[in-house]
Amino acid sequence: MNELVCAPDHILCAWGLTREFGGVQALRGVDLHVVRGTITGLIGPNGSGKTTLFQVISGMDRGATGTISFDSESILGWRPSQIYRRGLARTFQLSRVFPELTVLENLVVAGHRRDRGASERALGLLERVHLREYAAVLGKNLSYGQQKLVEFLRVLMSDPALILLDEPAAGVNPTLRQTLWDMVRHLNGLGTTFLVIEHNMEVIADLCSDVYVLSDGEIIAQGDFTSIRNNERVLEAYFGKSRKHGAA
Amino acid sequence: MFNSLQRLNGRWVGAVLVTFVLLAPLMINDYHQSFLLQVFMVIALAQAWNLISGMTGYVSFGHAAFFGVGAYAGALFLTWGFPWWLAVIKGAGIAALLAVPLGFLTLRLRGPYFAIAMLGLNEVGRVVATLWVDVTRGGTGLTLSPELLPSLDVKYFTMFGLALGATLLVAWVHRSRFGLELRAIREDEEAAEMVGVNTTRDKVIAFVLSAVIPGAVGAVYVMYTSYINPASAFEHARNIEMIVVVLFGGSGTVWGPILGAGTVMVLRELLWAQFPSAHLAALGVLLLVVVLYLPGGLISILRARQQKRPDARPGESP
Amino acid sequence: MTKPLLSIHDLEVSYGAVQVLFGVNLEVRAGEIVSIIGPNGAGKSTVIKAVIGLVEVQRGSVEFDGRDITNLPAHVVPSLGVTYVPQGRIVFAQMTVTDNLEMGAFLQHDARKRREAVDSVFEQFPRLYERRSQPAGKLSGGEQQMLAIGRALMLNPRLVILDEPSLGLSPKYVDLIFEHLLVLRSQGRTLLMVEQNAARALELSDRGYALELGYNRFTDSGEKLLANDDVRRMYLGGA
Repeated sequence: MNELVCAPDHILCAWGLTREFGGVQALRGVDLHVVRGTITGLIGPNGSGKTTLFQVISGMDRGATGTISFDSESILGWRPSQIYRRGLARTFQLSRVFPELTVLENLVVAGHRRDRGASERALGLLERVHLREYAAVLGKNLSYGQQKLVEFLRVLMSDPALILLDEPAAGVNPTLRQTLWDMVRHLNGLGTTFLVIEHNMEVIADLCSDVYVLSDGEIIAQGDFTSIRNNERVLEAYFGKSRKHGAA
Repeated sequence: MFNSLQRLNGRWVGAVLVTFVLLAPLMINDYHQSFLLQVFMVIALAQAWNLISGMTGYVSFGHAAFFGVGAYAGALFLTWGFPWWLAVIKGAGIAALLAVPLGFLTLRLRGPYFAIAMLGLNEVGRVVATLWVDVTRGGTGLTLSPELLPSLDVKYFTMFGLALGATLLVAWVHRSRFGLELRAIREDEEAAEMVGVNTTRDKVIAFVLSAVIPGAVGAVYVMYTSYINPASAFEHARNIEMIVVVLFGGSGTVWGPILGAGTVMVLRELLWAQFPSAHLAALGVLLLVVVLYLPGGLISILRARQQKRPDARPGESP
Repeated sequence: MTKPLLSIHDLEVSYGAVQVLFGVNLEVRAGEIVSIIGPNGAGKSTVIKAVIGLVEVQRGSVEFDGRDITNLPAHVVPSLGVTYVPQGRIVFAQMTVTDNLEMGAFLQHDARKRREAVDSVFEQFPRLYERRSQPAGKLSGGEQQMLAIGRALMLNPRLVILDEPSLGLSPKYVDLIFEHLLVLRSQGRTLLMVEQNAARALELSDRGYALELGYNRFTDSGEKLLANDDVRRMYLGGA
């Protein structure tokens, strides 16, 4: 793959990503471009490889082949901490807040090492989501929804240019969910790009200007949500394909 | 609020203890001074173990290996004509040098595998010491002639210095950004990596730091006993002791190992000389107590009395 | 009209503070194959877990063969004639195929009856008979699914509940498994299943229920649901 294919306004370019697990192809030559400044959606039925794709892009899974270019730099093979420091952050589907660290510590550890103002930044972020009083509370003592919110704030500490969100609202109550999406919109307005895995189609329709559909390890459609929603191939991916009637 | 009160208390207690230690040689006899020297040794080793196992969660079952390396290295440099303090430094240095590649290798392993690998390392140390007869005199061991050895007072203060240094190191790491990263590694290494912590680098640094201290301690110890052989250099009981002292006192804390050391040393006084197996059994009982009733160690009893501190700053949580 | 074999009334289930089912209704008549379909987060698995006793029901009821089985402990349910094939082909990997099957008849104390049950499963699944002494971990995905189904048959259940039987299987094995399900029905059993592959499930089913976000959305014969475009669109939030 050549970087020529990757336009300057593409903050992330993945080309030919392939990942095999013992004979099963989780990703089969995935091509994906995320335009700078957008909120891009990634949808697809269960088991289509969405989380695997995030694992590969974020560096947690180093077993894929292909090319990944972030901000014009090839990052395939980098350690996750390097990728994070470069400006690409990612959240998890299930909360991975550090349970025995306080909320404040959870945030500060994710900031820049030499940042003297890390504590203030962290407190400021907590303030925005009305969690400032919880600064000294241990991670394990938060409700699940609060944990997910803190996990989201955590990756903001390094001021990333691109954030991969893996079902950020799963298991979160409606009020906190709204807070989360509001923050995403706000940050996007300030220039942060998002790639979001979500199952809630209302959110996708509302938030995302561009959507990729992954099915069985391949991208089968891309475009704005309205066109996706009426795409036969996409409907088939979700609903399944029936054989000819009467063949049972 | 409470936070500064606690720090003040800690400082006062520390100051009192240090004063006592400095003045002790004037007041007590040699036997008791030796006893204190051994207390300092246990504290230093425990804090070193605390640094890697308490803080990162990589539980080592073989840290006595570095003690053994330091002991032999120190003894050899002493016999080769180096001044005692240089021999100690070199002993520590050799331990550290070995720790770098060993760290990279063993820290890839998780949980029980790491523990056993370290145990294996200790055994390897013992075997090498036994077989490399040209250098180590094998099972016969090395005896150091008295004129090479510094005085009891010197050894006493050096060991104290190591115990103090190790404790201060743990205290500093505890409050530092580095310590925060280590704790994050302990909690969830993958997640820590995902938020920018270079886990390999941090772990290896902690590992090397935790090897330097036992290396130095071993070198001083050999000058205290004036004799070393593979069995005593790479003694199993020492591994167990390091672990029990820290767990019983309170792993991952600064004062925990000190409290634990005090307890274990009392036990030693009572049991080790006459009934060494009883001593090990007693350590086992302590371990059971920790696992069943006191996972946080003795320190957790003290902490339980404290209120929640609403203005805790990073690196200072219990 | 005959009473349904299984009926679920106004089922409400929450996981902690998050409510997942908001009053779901469903019934399965004897001898039917019924499928529950719907997009992610619809609560499909939760419905069958509620029947089996793996989750707590806050409100509503589950009746089997005229008896209220709401919130019965899970280990009691198989003895009533209801067995469960969980999602993901959970088999005891280190045990042989035969031993795995025997585990399914754990409640059957008569060794001869157990043996007979094992034999009848082997008759229905010759593939399993061929591999009877192999550790279950060495079987292919499709074979493991057969094993899981075989295990669920060991107590000769009237109702077999399956959670995503086609998950992770190649198309060839999906065909095979679904054929076996038809055989189960011809034996007089009743089947209730949750399926991700809605099209194939509805092809096979007499009736289906489409759920969305914890609510009933559509219910009809399998064929009619298959032909209903709104059902399809529901998956992408379009209905």
